Parts: sequence; structure tokens; C-alpha cells
Amino acid sequence: MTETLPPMPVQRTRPLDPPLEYDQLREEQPVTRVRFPNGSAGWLVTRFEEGSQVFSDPRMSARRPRHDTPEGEVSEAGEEAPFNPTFVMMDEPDHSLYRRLLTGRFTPKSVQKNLQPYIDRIVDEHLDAIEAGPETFDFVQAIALPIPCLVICELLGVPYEDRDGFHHATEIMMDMANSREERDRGAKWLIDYITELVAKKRATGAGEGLLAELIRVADAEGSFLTDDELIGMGVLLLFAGHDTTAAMMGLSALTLLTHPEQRQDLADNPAKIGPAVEELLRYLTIVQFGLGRVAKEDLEIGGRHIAKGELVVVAMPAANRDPRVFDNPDTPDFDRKMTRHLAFGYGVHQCLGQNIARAELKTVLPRLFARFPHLRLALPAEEVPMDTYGTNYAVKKLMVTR
Amino acid sequence: MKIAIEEDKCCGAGQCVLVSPEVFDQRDEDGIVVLLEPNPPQEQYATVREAAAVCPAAAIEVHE
Repeated sequence: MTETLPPMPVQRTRPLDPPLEYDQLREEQPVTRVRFPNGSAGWLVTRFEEGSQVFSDPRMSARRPRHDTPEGEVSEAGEEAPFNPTFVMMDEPDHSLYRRLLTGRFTPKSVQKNLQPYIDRIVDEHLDAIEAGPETFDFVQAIALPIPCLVICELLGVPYEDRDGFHHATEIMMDMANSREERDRGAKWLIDYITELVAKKRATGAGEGLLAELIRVADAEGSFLTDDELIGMGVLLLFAGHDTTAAMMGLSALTLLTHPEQRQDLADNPAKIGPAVEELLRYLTIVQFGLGRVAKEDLEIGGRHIAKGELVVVAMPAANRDPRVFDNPDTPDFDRKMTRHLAFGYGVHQCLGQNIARAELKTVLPRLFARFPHLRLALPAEEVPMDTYGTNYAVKKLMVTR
Repeated sequence: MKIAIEEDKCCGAGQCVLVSPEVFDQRDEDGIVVLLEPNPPQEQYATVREAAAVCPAAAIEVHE
């Protein structure tokens, strides 16, 4: 018999706020059993400290089954993606072995030196193109999508002319309104694409970029990195590297366009861009269905007993609105005194690309509003189409007038 | 104040460097934390505490 459980909240009432049911859960049942969107059962954590604990406890395994897939689509950990997820699903010490192949290219210093000049240039070029184009335009197609695509292509050494293909495949794969077969088709496209690209780079002597560096690691005598893992990492970096930042950029622009006070604050105080980006990350927390972990042994979280093998999902959008940690959590406040948030997760799996996302957001947002001080929505805010089924919450289209 | 770092735990997120660049750095090749200043001056204490609190891997220990 299946347990009768309340469903995990997924329906939003207001476009920029997580489902309102979270407010009650956070106060009354901060660690509670729910039925996830795919029908599997497990624990949902809605408070900040308890959520942080789940992510940083070494007794919690990152090798977890999906919970956010469509109704009835339950699979085993590691079985849900047709590509090898490598370090994303690994625990220590294996996780570090793989992640450290990449971390050197994602440090603030490396991003500043190797990517920031490129970001500066492409953002200005795209703003020039907007200025030369029609007065009303889609911010997603004009900036939010192309900038992250260009940056991940530059970092990986992927040809930018292939962007339509890999973005379309990513959209299909990440849209939880699609069936497993459809989403697997998107993933398969990405696998075939990276497989071919790796073969091409090998044939021509690899060259520049992170993908070429990984090929050199895999091809070294006695390397632990297999081709299956190399391709899995390439797929992962390509889709995670552009879809997330694109979602965050579109939602950030919508937030500033609908919050004139905060927009003015940033215009008057350009030095606040760092805290403003952190606050937007907290406020928007795009990983809308949260992230799961599996208990490797019996343990306690927030006074509740979690049994070995149970799935625990941290609802980061709820945890990042926890009033125990954030005063007036539902208002974006660029003067907020905040040490950390959970938008990038927490623990050793915390987002690898976070410093690239920061660099892109910190470049695009102030320059966009400085260049077009009269920028406004071309339609009422409530009519902006939202991507409610995406793993990453996003605006589908953001028509604005400059 | 005395700072101890655990390289094995470090996941290279770079949060410490963002908060307290005078005290922490990262190795170029793999992003592992480098302690520039094991006994920082008093004016750095607040940011060092914040760096320890923000570290996702709990790789920074502060003794006062």
C-alpha cells in the first residue's frame, strides 16, 4: 500500500515567489514527508539551517534518484540520465578526484583573468546591437541566452555556431512537461554532439579550452578518466553552464523592471552590484524543485528520524526565504546583511560555475540599465510567460522597450 | 586568531577568496585553498570569520 502524503508544493501564485504553501510548511513542518512530483515519497526540508545540514552532512549521499520528473516516472539513482553524471552523483573521495580536474578554471581569479575581458566585450556588443535594432525586443533572445552560451563555448572550446542545436536539446531535456523519451532525445543529442566534438578535437590535436584539457587528461598514460566520463562531464558543463545563468539573467531583469525602488538603488549606487547579485540569487533561487540527497545511514534532521536509504529534498527556494535567517525575506533588499544563501546549494557539491554566473550577472545588469535608462516591460508583468516546468525556473520570453 | 585549513575537504568554490582575499587564495591548477596569512591582523578577523562561515565544505577552522 502506498502511504497517503501531501504533495510537494510546485504551483506558484506570484511569479517571483515560491509556492505559498512553503510558508506554512516552514513554520509547522520544516522537515516533513511528502509525495514528490513523480510520485515517489520522501522528506522535504524547507528551513535554511536544516537544509544546509542536509547538504553538508557526509552521511548524505549525492547519489540520488530524481524526484522532479513527471508523475509515474520513478527511477533508480544514476539511471535517470543517459549520460554519465560523474562527480554530480559521487561522494567523497571520488567526487573530489573528478571535480578537481575542473575547479582551477572556475576560481574567481581564473574567471577574472580568462573570462571577464571576453564577457565585457560580448556584453557591450550585444547592447550595441540592441541599440541599433527595434525599440521593442525580447531580452531573452537578445542577452539572457546568448551571453551565457558564448561564455560556456569560450570556456569549453565549443563552436558558438552550434548554439541553436545544444540550447534546443537542453530545453527539451530540462522541461519536466516532456516525457522521459522526449527528454532522453534531448540528452542523446548532447551526448552525440560532445562525442563528435571530442573525436574532432582528438583528430586535430585537441587545441584550446577546457574540453581539450580534459581530453589530454583522459589520454595520459594510466589516466582514471574514461571516455564515457569525459563525455558526461562535457555534456554536463555545456547544459549546466548556459541554461542556469540564462534563467537567472532573465528573472533578474524582470525583478528589476518590476521593482523600481531597487532598480533606482542600483543605478544610484553602482558599487552595490555585488550584494545586489547575491540578493537576486537568494530571492529568485531558480532551482525551483530543490535538490535531493539519500541518507547513507539512519540519522536525524531537525528532530526527525530519517531512515537509511530515504530521499531528502532541500527546497532551496523555501530555505532562502526563511525568516529565521533573512529579515523580510520576500522583499529584495540590496542592503541586506547576508553571509550566505543556498541558491548554489551548499556542501562540497556547491555549484562549480557560481563565479562565472556572478561575473556574467554583475556585468550585464548594471550595463543594461545604464545604457537604457527608460527600459520597461512591453506588456503587463503578469502576462510575461514563465517556464513553470523547467528544472530551472525562468522567463520564456521578456519583451521590453528601450 | 589562528587559522587552519583542510585541503582534503576544500571543493574550490572560491567563497573564501571572495570574502577575504588578503588571507585566502586558491591554487591555479585545481582551485584548492591556499592560506596566505595564518595569523591575520585584527582588522581581518571579521572577514576571516565570514570566510569560515561561508565555506561550503567547512574546510576553514578559526581558533581565537
